[in-house]
Amino acid sequence: MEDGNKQVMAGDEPIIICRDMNKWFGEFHVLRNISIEVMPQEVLVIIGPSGSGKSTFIRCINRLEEHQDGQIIVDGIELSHDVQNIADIRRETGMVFQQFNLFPHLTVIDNITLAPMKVRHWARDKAEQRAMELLERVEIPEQAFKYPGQLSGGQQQRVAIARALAMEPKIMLFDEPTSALDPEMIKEVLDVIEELARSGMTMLVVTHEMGFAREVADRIIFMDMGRIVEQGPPENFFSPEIEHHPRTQEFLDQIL
Amino acid sequence: MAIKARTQQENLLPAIFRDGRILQGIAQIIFVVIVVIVLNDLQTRINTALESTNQSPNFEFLQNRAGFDLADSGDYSSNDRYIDAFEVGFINTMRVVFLGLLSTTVIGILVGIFLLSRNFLVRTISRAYVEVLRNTPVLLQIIAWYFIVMLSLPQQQESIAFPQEGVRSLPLLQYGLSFVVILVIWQYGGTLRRPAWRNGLRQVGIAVVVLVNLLGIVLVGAGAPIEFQPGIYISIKGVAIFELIPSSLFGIWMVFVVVGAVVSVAMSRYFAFITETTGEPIPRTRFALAAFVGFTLLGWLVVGMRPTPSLIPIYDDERGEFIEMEYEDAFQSGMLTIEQELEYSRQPLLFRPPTLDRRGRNIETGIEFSPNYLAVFLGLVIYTSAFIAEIVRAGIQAVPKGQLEASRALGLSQADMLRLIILPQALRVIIPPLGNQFLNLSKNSSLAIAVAYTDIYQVTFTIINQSGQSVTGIVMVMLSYLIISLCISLAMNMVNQRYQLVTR
Repeated sequence: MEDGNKQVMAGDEPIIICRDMNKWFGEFHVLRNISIEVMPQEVLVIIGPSGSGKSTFIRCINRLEEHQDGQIIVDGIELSHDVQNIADIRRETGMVFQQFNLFPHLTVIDNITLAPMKVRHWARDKAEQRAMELLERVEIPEQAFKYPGQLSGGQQQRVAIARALAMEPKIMLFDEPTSALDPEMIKEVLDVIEELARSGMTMLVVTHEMGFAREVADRIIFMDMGRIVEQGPPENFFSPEIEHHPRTQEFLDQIL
Repeated sequence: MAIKARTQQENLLPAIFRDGRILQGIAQIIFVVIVVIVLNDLQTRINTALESTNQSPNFEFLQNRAGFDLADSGDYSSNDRYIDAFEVGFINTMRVVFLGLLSTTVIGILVGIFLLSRNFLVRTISRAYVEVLRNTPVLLQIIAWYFIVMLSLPQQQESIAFPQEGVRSLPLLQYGLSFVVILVIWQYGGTLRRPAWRNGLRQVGIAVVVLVNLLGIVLVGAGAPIEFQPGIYISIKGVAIFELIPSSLFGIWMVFVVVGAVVSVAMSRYFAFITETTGEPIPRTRFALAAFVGFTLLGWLVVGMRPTPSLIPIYDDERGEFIEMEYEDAFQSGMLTIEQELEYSRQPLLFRPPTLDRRGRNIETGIEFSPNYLAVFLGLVIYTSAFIAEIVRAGIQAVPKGQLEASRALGLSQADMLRLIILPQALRVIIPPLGNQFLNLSKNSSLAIAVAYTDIYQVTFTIINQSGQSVTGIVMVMLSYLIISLCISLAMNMVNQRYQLVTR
């Protein structure tokens, strides 16, 4: 059923639409006229200097931040002050945080089964079975009954990915998923995300891992000062022959 | 590489005195010796001092006649023994501590949540409450409660009464019915899928509640006997509260209550099981509560239906003989003895308003709280609640923001987030300092002496003054506080263990 669904969705209407979205933190204009469409199964990687608004942008998509102007439509539902809409969108959107944000007082498996049982009203058996499948997928089934505090950073982040996937979301948001990890743990997490991207999940990834971006992205967005400065497929984006916006060029020169 | 050996000159001390373990051992031995010497000296001094006044510490004196009166002392009189006086003090301290801990926790948690309120007024008022109360000495507060609040209350003859005498009100049955209606709406209102049905049910509910109460007003207008007796009196002598005395029906009613409790626990367990196995969300706490309340009310109605004699013999003082009276008239005449009322009542619990004895000085029926008790109680409860409020606020704020974001991102409802994510993590932070505040309250209760409340410290002080047995007295007080404190610590440690995090 999953596959069937995806084929119908692919090439169909965009699953996320942002139109002229603006956001301010007090006086500070964080997001300026963001307009973008994301197609189902697309992997969108968002890069840019710190403070450019990339995290704020993806946090607007599941309403962890509130946009003040413009329109966001996720999976056909418009984000507004309607709490029912917000709940519906959050149910279809998984999120992985920089700081993992696992629940420290629950075991790994309880972390994963909590939301499916409480929000999707699954039976415990079903939720646990699904959780074990997901733990297999992120390759740490043996940690199921430990607490987050007993795991390494890389393992915690993989649990966090499994937790988000357990809700069977249509969209996954990654907010700098590897920035808080030790270098040797980054790869294990990126491998999981890459596998997920290949399986056809719609994803928005904020990251500083350029190699990963080049490998996985269908489209790369470069943001600066709250604006989308440039976007395009990775082969163009990282190609030295192509003429870039001066700000993009400056950024690329510094990191590459 | 060879191990380098020191030359004889470098080794100022033999090897054994350079071994860290042995040095620690020696330090410990020296410390023990000092403690023993000091304690020994203290004991000889106490003994010689007491021998010079011809008294050695003992416990036999506790059996002697006390010879002094105590307020707040129940059946105790000056002819009782010292140990009885001590018992009065202990019970009085426990009255303050036990009720105090319960009340201060409830108030503290509420104010703590108010401190985080988004409402400016609520937040500011609770902030002012906390700042004023925790920055003034508790002794001052207790004294203020006594001399400013308690002593300014009216004389006993002009007591403030709740509800005021002569106020006519609606029959209890109506309140019961209205309550059931509200409960049903609360129960089912949210579970209906269609908004039209949800709203419909609410409107029907409101209509029923209004009708029931209109009916009551008509009944009152028609002169139905539904006048309320005052249940609480407040005066300079303190607060007197009504009593509920179990009548002859109480036993049968308790069967209903117990069955209700068992059924509600069983329902809760069963629905939890259903939710686990099928995922179907069931508001099991509400169902369980509804079942319990339902059984309790049903029991009240059912036991009231037992046959009662239509005529009741009443002893007529004027004629000096028994006369027969109709059931209703007998109950309204006020001539029934308390035993008869309990025997023939149609209610499992008999309401007994506070009454004064013949001299009009002391309370005969009802529960009485002296102004001294209330001053200590209120002083401690209000003072401690300010600290608990801060602890609760800090505990809730200590839960990282990421936890809330993760819960929201997963789509958890506000209630689930509070119950399953915030509370367990906040309690972890709250419980250890909360235990400290509980200990503080129990120990601060010794400030009762400032307003002459007969707590354990005040009573023992009197005992020491009379008997001269200061060592025994102080040891007994210390042991009493120690027992109370250890019980509190034990309970808090047990709770604390449940919320500890597992890390590596």
